[in-house]
Amino acid sequence: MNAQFKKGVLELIVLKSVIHQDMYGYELVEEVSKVVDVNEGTIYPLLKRLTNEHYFETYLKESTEGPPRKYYHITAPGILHQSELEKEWNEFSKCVGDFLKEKK
Amino acid sequence: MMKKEEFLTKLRKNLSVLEEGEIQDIVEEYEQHIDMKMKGGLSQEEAIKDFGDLKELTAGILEAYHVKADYNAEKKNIDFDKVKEESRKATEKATSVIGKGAGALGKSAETAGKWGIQQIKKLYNFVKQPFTQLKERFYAGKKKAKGKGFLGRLWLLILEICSLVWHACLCFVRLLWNLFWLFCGIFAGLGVLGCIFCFGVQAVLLVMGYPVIGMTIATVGGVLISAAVMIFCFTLLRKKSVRKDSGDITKDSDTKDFRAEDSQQEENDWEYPDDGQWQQKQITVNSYQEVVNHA
Repeated sequence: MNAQFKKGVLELIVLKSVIHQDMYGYELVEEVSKVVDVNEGTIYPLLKRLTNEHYFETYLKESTEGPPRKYYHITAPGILHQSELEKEWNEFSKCVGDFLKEKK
Repeated sequence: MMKKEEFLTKLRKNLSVLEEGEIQDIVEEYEQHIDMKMKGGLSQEEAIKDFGDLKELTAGILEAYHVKADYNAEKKNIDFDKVKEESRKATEKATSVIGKGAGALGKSAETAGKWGIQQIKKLYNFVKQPFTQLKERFYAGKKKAKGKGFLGRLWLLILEICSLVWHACLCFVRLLWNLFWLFCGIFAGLGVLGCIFCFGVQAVLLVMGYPVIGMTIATVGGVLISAAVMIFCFTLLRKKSVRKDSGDITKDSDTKDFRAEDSQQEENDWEYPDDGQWQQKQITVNSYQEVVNHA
């Protein structure tokens, strides 16, 4: 899949993944990897950026194995941002889909 | 193929522009990710390989902080070039200065050498002077005692001993005093040299853009202070006997008349001629004879 496509849609997927339940980094990476084949390293910077922009809050939680895990929790602005992105994506994909159908 | 530790160290280094807490945060996240991958059956190398190029990875992280990804590398390059340029300039300057200075240096070296020898001679005379004085004083007394009666001789002897002891004390105190201030002066002089050296170093750092302007100004102050202290110390060196001390002699001694008459002569005796060569003027026998008459 085209890297530019992935990059644009990655933010939406990450936000959508945590909308119903908090997740820790590795879990989130696994989740996203199910949808798009992406370099795992690039998801952490994205999480960092979303946290810096206050779409995410983080907290530490003890795990049964290994060190405590950092969980990501979506904030109200995060939910708004996510719904906006989703709307944009739907419009965008509909437009592109319509265009592609039209030209067939 | 990178090991986990190596990867994390490199990552840490590349992110060094960030706050320590943030770096720790990120590094821990990656460390956990690698650990999880390894639990899933991958080797360290494979887990790290999935992160792709380290440079791109750190660029992505730094982008999240709105930091230029190549900031660290850029800074290093600039510094290196600057240092190279500075040292080249300095070398050029030094070479030209040395070239110009060499001729003048040759001429001045001769003068300086002569001056130095003169100063050493002066210093030697200065240190030797009290002892020479004592010796000559002793012989002068012996000479005077010739041809006197027993009482006269005894009186002269007592006088001479008193005077000798007193002057010995005076000389010793003066010697100590001078040595002390000489030492202080030399110490302050070393301080001046040290401060000038520090000033030079800081001036170079300043040119290179380090924020040491305050330190540099303080060092200039240090140079001035040290120089002032040095000059002060050297002005405290005593060449002549202190007049106040002469006054004390008259108080302490029971030979008031002699001292009063002779005090002018006394001061002359202790004076250095300007060329630094000390010459003892003989105390005239007459004055001593007067003393004997008084007694």
